[in-house]
Amino acid sequence: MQVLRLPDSRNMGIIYALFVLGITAVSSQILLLREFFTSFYGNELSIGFALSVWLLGGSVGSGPLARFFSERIKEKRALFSFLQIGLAAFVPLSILAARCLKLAFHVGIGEIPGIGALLAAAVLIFTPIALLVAFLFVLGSQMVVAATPSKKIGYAYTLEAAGAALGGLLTSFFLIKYFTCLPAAFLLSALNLISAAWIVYACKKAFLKNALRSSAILLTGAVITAGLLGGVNYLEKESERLSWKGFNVLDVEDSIYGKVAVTERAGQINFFQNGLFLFSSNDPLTAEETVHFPMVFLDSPEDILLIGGGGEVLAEILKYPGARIDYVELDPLIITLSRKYLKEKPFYSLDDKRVLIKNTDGRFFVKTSKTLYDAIIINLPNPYTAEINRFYTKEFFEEIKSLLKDKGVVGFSVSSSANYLSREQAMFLESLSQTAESVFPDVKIIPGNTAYFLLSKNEGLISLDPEFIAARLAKKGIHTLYVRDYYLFSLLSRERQSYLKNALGRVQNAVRINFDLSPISYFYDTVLWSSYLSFSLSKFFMYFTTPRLLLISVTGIFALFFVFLFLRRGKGFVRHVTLLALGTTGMSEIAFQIIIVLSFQALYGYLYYKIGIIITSFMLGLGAGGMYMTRKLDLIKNPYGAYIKIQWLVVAYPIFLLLCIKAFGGLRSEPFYSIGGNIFAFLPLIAGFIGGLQYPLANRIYLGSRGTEVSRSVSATYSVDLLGSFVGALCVSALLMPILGIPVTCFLLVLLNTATLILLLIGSKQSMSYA
Amino acid sequence: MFRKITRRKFLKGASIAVAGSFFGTKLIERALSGADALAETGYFKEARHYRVIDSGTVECALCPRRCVLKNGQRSPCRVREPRNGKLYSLVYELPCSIHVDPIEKKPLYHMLPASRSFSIATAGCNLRCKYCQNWQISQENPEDVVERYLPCEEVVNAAQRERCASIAYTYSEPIVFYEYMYDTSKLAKAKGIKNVWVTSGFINPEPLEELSGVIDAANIDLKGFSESFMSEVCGARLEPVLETIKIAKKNGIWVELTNLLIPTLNDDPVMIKNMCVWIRENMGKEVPVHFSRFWPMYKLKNLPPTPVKTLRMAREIAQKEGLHFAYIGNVPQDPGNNTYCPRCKKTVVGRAGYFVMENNIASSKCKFCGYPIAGIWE
Ligand SMILES: [Zn+2]
Repeated sequence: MQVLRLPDSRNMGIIYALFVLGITAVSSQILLLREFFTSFYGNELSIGFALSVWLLGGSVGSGPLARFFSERIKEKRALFSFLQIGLAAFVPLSILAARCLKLAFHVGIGEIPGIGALLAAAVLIFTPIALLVAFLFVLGSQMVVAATPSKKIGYAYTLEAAGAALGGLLTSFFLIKYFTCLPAAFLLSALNLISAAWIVYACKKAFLKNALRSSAILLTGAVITAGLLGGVNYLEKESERLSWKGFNVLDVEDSIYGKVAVTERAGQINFFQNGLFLFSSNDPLTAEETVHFPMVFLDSPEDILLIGGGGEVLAEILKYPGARIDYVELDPLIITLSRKYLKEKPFYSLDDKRVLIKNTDGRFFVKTSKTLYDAIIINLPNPYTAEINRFYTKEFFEEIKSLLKDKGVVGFSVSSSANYLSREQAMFLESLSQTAESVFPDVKIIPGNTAYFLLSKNEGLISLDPEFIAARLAKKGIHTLYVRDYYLFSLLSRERQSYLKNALGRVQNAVRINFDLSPISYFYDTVLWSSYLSFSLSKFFMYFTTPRLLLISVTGIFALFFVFLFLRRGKGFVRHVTLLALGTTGMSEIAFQIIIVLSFQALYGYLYYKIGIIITSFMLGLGAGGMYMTRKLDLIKNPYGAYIKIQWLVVAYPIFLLLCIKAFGGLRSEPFYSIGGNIFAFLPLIAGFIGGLQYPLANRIYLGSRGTEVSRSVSATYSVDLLGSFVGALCVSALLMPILGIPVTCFLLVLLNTATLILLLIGSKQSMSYA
Repeated sequence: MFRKITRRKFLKGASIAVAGSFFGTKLIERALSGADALAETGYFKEARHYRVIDSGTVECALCPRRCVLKNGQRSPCRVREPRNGKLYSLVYELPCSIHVDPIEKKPLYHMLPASRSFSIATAGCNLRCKYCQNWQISQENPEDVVERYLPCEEVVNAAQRERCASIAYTYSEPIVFYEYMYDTSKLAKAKGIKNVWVTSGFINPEPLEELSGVIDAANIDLKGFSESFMSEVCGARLEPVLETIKIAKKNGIWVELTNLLIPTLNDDPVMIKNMCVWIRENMGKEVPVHFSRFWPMYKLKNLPPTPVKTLRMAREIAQKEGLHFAYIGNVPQDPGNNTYCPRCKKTVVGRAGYFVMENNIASSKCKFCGYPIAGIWE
């Protein structure tokens, strides 16, 4: 390839090193996030914490840290090799830390940790690798620049992006499929150790060279031997057992969707997904409530749609003679493990002739199904991620309404509180209730520690009179342990029903309807989840009402604008504003990714490989953009002017994105629907490409404006890029997207990038003197 | 005629400060602080049990924590605060949870079966159980929950209107609304309504002695029979709870005990056995013990529910140690729901859920053999 025209074959070692760095960065991030989530029982917010720590760590590693060391240490190759050996050690160590830290923090099995423990764990688990990866990137860039005649930082950027793209694919299609977590981590270690041995090839100091080389080779040998002799597997098993202390661990397996664990204690089998309790054997209460509350009102149910299952739900449905079930379960691993470990009678229903298992996304199934159903039972967790929130939106309710027979009933449930409903809890329930009411004429809620929602197209079909329900069940001859007279009379007492009604009525005007592109119920659930950690945290979130958040965001953007405007007479304005643009783009790019993934899931379903394509295509775009710009760099006479042109693209992209989402959303019929889905997955390619164009150019301007060293430039640009991503990841996923919705978030991104554009234009006069 | 307390919010905890720094701490601070409005609303009731140390400091004498508090400093139980050298309750006549429950739900199985109990609770708790079912009130400040103004006499009137045989002080921890509970109980007792105290028992002997004069029955939660469990999972101590159980019995309160079994935390058979031995030696064989099922809740949301086998094992241990009335909660159609006559072994009270299916007790005796069954039956 012409682009990667490196002078000496020895330097292939650097190419390999940067490539491995990209793979390690992405793969270890995926593996670690999963382990962290599993051990510390998170939701998307805790992933947000972790990602923020990661990006902030990267920013520190590539900024001050890299600057400090690379100015003092002459033997870059030795340092690089040494740090790679460190990285090789920290990948498996951090995974072990994720499993064992909760014991050190006195967080019990199944216990949600406090905010302090959560943050401390995120810092301890993610910082070492984030620091090392970013530091290595800066070092590697310097080495590439030193080795290429044209001294282009863009090469390094391209290589890392390509490695990252490959790392993402490798992890989902290969590592997770064929290895459990720790062996996969050791494989990454081996890749890095080999690179560490290779990179010192050209090192000038013989002693350093030999020491690093032999230790890297020895360690590689050790890792491979440990893998072959089963030492790695032993470590995996023991650390898993430690993290489930007190339970008999029957199985822990990874699928692309998550880590499923099966444990046993006192004869009871328990299922967990990513550490979150899913269901256990011997829990007829949940199964009966989930099934009979919607189904008791049907005269002769035939077609039942069950989205998400577990436990004895299927067996309860099959108590109705004549019922057949379409059972949609995203993760086939849950079915496989259920078959394997739940051998008691009710669970045999999985193999019942009347049950049709569909391993696909529920939203995808609903969009493509033609069957009409008597009952649609949604048996999913709370909307604790934006992905699950798709099953609680107005759009989803409209979709299932079109699949519901006239006298059919829809049932779903979320967590609630029996004796007291806090304002936050009430707002969560009320937002769901209003969303359902915007589609279904009749919506009823059963109070209790779990709130069961019942929806129907006709009023008068559903009655919450306990006598009526008990009589119907008796008439149908359905035997139940819980859902019957003695239980219903206290659950559905008139007083409890009116308490629920009043509590929801109080917040009636304070909540909004939950939409795909404005997932407010997901936000309320985040608030509820954060109150497990601390009430202060949930109050902090509740502070951000829609108008207030909008005001704060707009004020923030203007404040940023005026601060830079004030600096315009300063000497380094061009440099500052170039970095600012890099930071705001970094922030926007993360936002674009979040927005594209969520809208894709809403429009086309959670199709894992397509989501993989979305993330990979972003990385590919980034690499391609970087490569293109690096090639053109010498031809560009006015880099600053080109930089401004690219900023125009960043301003326009959110508008383009929003138009695409609206346009693709309108394509409901085949073949346009499928074609749209395929095109949509490549939207991030453009976003990545724009970001990729900017980075090498920013370095050129930065270098040109000051005549600084390459190390300073790379370290400044890369760390600002990551800092922007950090701010973006935190604000967009936790606040802007859920509270304001995607359209308003896009508008804010346009505003932010326009502010940057104006500042860039102001700087163009000064830039002349540098060119 | 319900008045609402002025809401007062204030900045608390490092977490919010950390989060705040991203968005401008000042802004948040101003929004969350605000006027010190409680003083104006006047919902103050001087505490019954405390000791003045000096003009600015008091020692709360209600529970074994014996907190030393300075003027304006909120107690860890969230509902007490000294002002001008006096300690005040901030939740007097301000319940946030008001329901009518079957008495079996408390659970009390040996007291007026199938009767209704008027149940109230305020915010706050002096414990920190990680599995609290009512954490949204027990771990929250009174100014941040939705409260209703319900004077003591109104509680009694409402209980009568709702045809309740008893008033239950329950859900969160009634010890922290001691004054409200005590004053209401006195009025209720005068009107022939029974008083039920559902508690963790983490209280000092002096206030307990006073309370004994008005309370008829108590369900005391013996959360786990080890000091380490009590401190690590509940933020309390075991010894004072055992003391409470003994004093309550000595003072003639009808006591039933609850032991909620949590997988891996307090379900060790040896621990259960030691507990049963202690109960037999200190309380006799007649005290009912309820082994109830843990449900994934609050901070322990990802711990699976208690296996039924564990509950049955605990009941068997209790029976083996000679306890007459060991029950299993919330597993319908299990024999552990019923009361069996210790002599003729017949079912004297048959239950399903919170429902009483049959009652074979007459004049506090087994209808079949005449054996006296301990409890309050009429
Ligand atoms: Zn008898």
